[in-house]
Amino acid sequence: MKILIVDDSRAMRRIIQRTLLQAGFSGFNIVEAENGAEALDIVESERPDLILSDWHMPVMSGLEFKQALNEVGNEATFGFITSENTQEMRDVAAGAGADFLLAKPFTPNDMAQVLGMFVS
Amino acid sequence: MLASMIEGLALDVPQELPADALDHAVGAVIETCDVQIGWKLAPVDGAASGDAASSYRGSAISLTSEDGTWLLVALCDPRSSRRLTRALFAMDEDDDVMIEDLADALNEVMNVAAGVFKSRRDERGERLSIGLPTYLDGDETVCRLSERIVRRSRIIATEDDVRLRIIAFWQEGSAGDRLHA
Repeated sequence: MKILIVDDSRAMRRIIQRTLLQAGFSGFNIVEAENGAEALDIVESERPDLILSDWHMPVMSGLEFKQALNEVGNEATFGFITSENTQEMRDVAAGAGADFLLAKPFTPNDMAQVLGMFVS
Repeated sequence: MLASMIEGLALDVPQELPADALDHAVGAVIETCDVQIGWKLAPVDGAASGDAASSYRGSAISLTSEDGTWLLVALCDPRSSRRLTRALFAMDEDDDVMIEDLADALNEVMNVAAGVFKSRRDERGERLSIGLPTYLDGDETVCRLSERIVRRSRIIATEDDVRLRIIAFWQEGSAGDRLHA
């Protein structure tokens, strides 16, 4: 399985990778991007199975990134990992076609519960 | 320089915050550090005044509503900022910390804390939009904050004395514009 992690924070990209392992997920390839625009290029070249994207990023936000993926018909599993956690933003994420939203800060258990439905 | 930046951000702000806002800001940073890196931070007694002499690195983030803007700021001394960075990146204690990583770590803590703060204010019917964090580098000079800033702040610390000063401002209009100016 190939996972694309999109976050403008290098620290958070490290945390997400670390937490994936702590949550019991292993045997995957990780590719990274700093924003939605960079991620779009990587999606085309790397064809990830799972995309984990931040919401607030410079250049292109996570929501804009998801909308761009929808336009090209990309069907990879897509989840936001974001500091946004209100019902309003969860509704926006679902409306854009996101499969899940994992709110920061998160524990390995939080990640296991959310990703367990999509990752074996 | 950092002190003047903070003082500038706080221009024209009212004297008093809504009663629970600083509690929410402080609680948001405590929750962020606890869940994400396992740090147990707690408010330091008697830290409402003074003790700002070595606070010269930090991050600020704005949360905007129709009525105005919250500005949340975290400041810390160099030792604390390096400890925080190493914890977030899972680095060894003797690893060198690059300034880019330090800025990234402080900004990400405030980004996540802003989300927790937003959720708590949302429960009170306050609808906020989160901005992007800005790293505050006060160079190597001592940062002395004025009493009016200190009154809007609280120091939180770990048992081994990693310290962060958390400041919250509320301003009618957009303090975020001033932050990114």
